[in-house]
Amino acid sequence: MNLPKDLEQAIVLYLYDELSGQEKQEFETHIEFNQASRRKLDEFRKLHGVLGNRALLTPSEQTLVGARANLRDRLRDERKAAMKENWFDGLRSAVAITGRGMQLATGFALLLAGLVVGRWTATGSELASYETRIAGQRGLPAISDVGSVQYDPASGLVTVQYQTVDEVSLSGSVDDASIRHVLSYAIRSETHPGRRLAAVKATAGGSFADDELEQALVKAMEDDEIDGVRLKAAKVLKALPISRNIKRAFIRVLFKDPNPAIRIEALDALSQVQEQDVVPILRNAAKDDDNEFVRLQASRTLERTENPEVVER
Amino acid sequence: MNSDERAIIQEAQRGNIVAFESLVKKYDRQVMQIAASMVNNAHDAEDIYQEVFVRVHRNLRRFQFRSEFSTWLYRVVVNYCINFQKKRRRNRAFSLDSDFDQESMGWQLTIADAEKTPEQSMLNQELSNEIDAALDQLSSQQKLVFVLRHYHGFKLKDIAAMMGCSLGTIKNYLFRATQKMQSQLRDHSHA
Repeated sequence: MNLPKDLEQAIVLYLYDELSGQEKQEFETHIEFNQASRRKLDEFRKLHGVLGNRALLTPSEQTLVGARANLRDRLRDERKAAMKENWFDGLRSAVAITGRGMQLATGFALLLAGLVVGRWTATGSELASYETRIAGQRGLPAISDVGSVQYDPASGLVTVQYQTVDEVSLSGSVDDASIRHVLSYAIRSETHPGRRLAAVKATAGGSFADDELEQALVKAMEDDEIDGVRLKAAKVLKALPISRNIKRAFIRVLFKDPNPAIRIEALDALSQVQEQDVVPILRNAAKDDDNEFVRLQASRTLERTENPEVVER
Repeated sequence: MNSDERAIIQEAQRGNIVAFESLVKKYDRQVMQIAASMVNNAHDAEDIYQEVFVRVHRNLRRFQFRSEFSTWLYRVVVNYCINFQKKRRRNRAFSLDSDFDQESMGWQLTIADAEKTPEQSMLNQELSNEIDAALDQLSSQQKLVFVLRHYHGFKLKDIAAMMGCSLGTIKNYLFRATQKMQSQLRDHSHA
């Protein structure tokens, strides 16, 4: 039996979850009482099952790397061709509009320009290794990759290298907003775990109030795949004033982090909070944590939180 | 679009090739997969990839942040795929077939619901060929909508934005495509 077109279309959209809430409700009511529609729905469901047997072509990482290299070559050739065209067009039009005297003058001017360009490029080697120092400036170009992060605990000096158009080297303390921006990026997005760890370490000891960096550290503490990075991020956050956001992150870590050392850092941090809503969480950890040492620490922390005077004595 | 992506696009618009390459790296797997599932041929998919990104590079300055960058990029992909399909249909008699060894080019053939026995695997391959043949019976637009929704999971409103059509038109393409697919694969879907 043929169904009206609108109804068949509704069946297809229902299967693809493309009906609005009300449409979906109406359709489900209709289908409950209409056998022909139910049969059609079953047919389309079977079709979906059959379509799952289509073999899909998936490129390997190697294929993509090769395709990117080809694209890079092609774009480079295009740029070269465009530059050559512009240069010849410019030169041709400059020479064509003049008489013989002007042509000589143009030639002389070009010679002079060549000398100036030569002089300029002679000092170009300095450009290749230049070091940009930016103090307190936030308008940085988009970062594409962080090269290295170095931190000298003695002087508190942080040096980060990252790529935009050129490699940029930036030195300053973590109090510097530009340094913090690059560190936040490295903590969040750097693929090399050593650099993420170095970036987290570089933030230690800073007395900054920076939302972007705080969020990056919270994300590192909760989600980084490397235990060392999560642990270091927990230590850094513990030393900061515990905001509501940080407190919540520590609670989540206490509940879900598989590493007991990181859970203990979370306990320590929560013990500083001295708020009553933390008590049931500590009680839960003291009772249910699967690590004996964490349970013990939680009991002690709980005792300190519930009876601060007793512990002080 | 987050602020980092916006900044990267602006850098790429100013001619920063590193920024452009980071955009390529972010989206190229999806671009390649869409192309592959449309043309079902690794070699053609790689050609489409190159042409699409060269066009995006040439026209990037025209992107004015009125839509998501991904929508704009996929619009270039779908337009190119539709034209490619039309051209291929016209030149079918002269085109190379797709029987060369795609796996040796670094591509994998994956079947989501595949069974593991060799017999089942052979049957799956036959069925997969039949599905491809049925897809080839659809118009370019119907095929594109069907492939993007069924195999790539794009929502219809996003497909409408990519193809520059109304949502109603896209719904109609999906419906017609499903009807035709059912008719082509009747022996299987009624079993």
